[in-house]
Amino acid sequence: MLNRLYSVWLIAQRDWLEATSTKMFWLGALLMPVITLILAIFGMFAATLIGTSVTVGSYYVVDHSDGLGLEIRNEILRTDITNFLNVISKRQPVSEDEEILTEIREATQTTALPDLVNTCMELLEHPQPDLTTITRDTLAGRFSIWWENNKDLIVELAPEVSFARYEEILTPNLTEQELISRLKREQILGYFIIPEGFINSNENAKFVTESILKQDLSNWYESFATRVIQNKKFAESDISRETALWLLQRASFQTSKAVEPPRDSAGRTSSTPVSAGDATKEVTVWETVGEFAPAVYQYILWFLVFIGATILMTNTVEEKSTKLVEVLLSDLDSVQLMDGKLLGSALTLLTVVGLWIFLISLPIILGSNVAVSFLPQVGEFLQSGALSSIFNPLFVINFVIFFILGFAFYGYSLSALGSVCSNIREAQMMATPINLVAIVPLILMVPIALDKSGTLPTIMSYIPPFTPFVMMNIVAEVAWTNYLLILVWMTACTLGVRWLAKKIYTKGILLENKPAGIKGLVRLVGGTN
Amino acid sequence: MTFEETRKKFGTLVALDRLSLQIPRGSVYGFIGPNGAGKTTAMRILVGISKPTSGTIKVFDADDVKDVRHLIGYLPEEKGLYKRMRVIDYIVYFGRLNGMRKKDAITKAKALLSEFQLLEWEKEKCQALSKGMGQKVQLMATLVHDPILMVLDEPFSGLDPVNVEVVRSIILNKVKENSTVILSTHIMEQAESLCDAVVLINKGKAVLEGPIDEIRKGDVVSVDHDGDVSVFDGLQGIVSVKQIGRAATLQVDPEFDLQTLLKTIFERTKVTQFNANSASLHEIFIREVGGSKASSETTADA
Repeated sequence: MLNRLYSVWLIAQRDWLEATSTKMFWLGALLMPVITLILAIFGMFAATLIGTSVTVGSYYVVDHSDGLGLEIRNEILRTDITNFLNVISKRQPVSEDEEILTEIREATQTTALPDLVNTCMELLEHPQPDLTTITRDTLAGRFSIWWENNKDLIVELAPEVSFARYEEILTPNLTEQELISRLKREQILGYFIIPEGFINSNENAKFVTESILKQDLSNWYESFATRVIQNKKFAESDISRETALWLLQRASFQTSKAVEPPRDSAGRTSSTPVSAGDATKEVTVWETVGEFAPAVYQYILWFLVFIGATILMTNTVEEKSTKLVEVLLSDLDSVQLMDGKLLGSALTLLTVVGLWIFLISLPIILGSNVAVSFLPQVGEFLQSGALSSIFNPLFVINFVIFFILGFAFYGYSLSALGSVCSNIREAQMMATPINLVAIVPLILMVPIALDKSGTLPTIMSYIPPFTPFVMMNIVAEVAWTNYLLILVWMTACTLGVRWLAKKIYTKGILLENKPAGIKGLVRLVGGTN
Repeated sequence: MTFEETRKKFGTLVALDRLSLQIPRGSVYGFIGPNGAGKTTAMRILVGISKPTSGTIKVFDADDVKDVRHLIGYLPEEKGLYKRMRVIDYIVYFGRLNGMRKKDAITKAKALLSEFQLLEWEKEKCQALSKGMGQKVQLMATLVHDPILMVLDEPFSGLDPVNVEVVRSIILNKVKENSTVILSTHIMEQAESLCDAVVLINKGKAVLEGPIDEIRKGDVVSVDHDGDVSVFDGLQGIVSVKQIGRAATLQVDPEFDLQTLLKTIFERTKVTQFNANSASLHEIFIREVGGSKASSETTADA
């Protein structure tokens, strides 16, 4: 027995060493995390670039109403000032900060923000503010002058301000011909026509643009127009702004997660009725990301199983065509050879996974402080608890279990197919039905993730070609009894496939003609080799 | 090694048809026959790669070849190598697969590389070897664990005359050590000079089997005469006749009295030249496998 296992190990070791001793292997293995890293860095840079140097789109407003266009412009300004002051009040002071920013930050500690906004609005609101008349004696005055002269810095500090994306052209009385000409020359994104009586009817209100698929400017402007009209209606109805805000408040539920309820000194949990949900905590974005970890595991599992099984099939065809397999089979049983090759491929794949895990863990190994200094998002991610969701032992252990079962199931199947083929093209053609079956759980990955205890995942988890992938996705939702049943069933099916594969392999590997086909494979299962 | 009524079928094709053989230990035994005769099938069964459909095979008295696999070294007809493996690693790998310790396998591999004059190639990858060198490395991988039965399928194909002599001497040395060598070859001169016994397989059946001397024992008589081939019609003791022009070649039954036959021929035709020789293995091969059929226009059975 030990000798048999030793031979299997020798086969596995050779295959693993051969696969991992090439530059191509390491390049290929490193390529995926490196590409991911490059894309992530590129994405961050792109986001920064978009935030700072995106081309500002211009628009024009043709106002036939009683000054609604001006009111909308001022509402946009008010929102911009409010957003900016909010950012400054919460921002950690930096030594290079201009004096005015420090003043603003200190002022927001003592003065209510809306009051400061209102004072600034008195100085800045349209029609065109006259900077020469503004005195620098007050904070609002100094800030207003600074605001008008430091638009670039404002965009850098608060990228969500409107003029980071859009800018209204204030040239009065542009004709329709001029506007269309500017549209054609792409000097403006579009222009709005505010009709008379817009406050009561949207009729004749238009947004004219050349790029009808780009609705973001229209949506953005609409939201401000809506707010202004609502404010006017509330004012006409003698409803205060505060009441208006109260009336407009949307109902919402905060998504939370249950936590272990607090215990008293005797270790008993509180028996009081549920009140404010003390035994809950807010769900962070990263925790939401962590919820999709099983789907990611499923994808990686599928990827590894298929890459590995295909490599195994290719190796089988190559060894058959060079007749090396004949020499090996004079020293070993076919099942030993298959086991050894399967183990070798599995070790190769696990080496790749190990490398990926190492690279992903590098920020943690280096120390989160170092990593955070490069990428602040890393720190946010590390502190969020998402890491424990992703590397949940339940997922990790089941990943290993279902990798072994899935890889064995598909590895034996494709090895058997490879053994009856005399070249790679024939083998790929014969493997097509298997590949088509195996792609089903990948296609259904998202629906399964969204309804883990539904009928579809439950049925699929009992169908052996789907079991490893579906189980990886739903394992947290499966009852222990079902889990054990599925595990036993899948193990039995894998052993069955191994037995069938051995029958086919032993005879198929010596075939010298074209592929045996499905009928031929069935014939190979019977009789002697 | 014993084949008893060994039969192997692939679907409807009978690759071996009730083959019965006894191969003595410490000899060189040749499997000869045309392409597709069943030689490779018989060898595969012998080394346990393939199982007979019916009948039995015994190797060193073991009923299951698997039990004695470590005593066998097998070299298939088409010889492949792991191209990215180093030469020494390749030989050591097969040694270890046959139960050798790594250290011993390395020592033996180096000794073989030296014997085959390839020591300077030990660290090279197999892909750097020429076809002949690759074949020698394959043979070393077959020999590394000191098998006492070597099964070599066409061991001389692709080798230059110098290397043929190297392989010949290796085979003869193994036999001196009381090992058994079973080989197949298309070169009848090789079989004749190397093998103690041969089996001629045709269409899955053993057509001739036994020691070379016994197989060749049948006499061949060359007769130059004035008549045509009909002169030999109905003559007793003649197995076959081939006549080209005035020269006839007679395959004579070794049990039949040659003097009686000659007397009868002299009575029927004017003989200008007469020679009696033992048949070569090549001639026996041609005769048994269908050479006479190939030249049927000038051949007639006696």
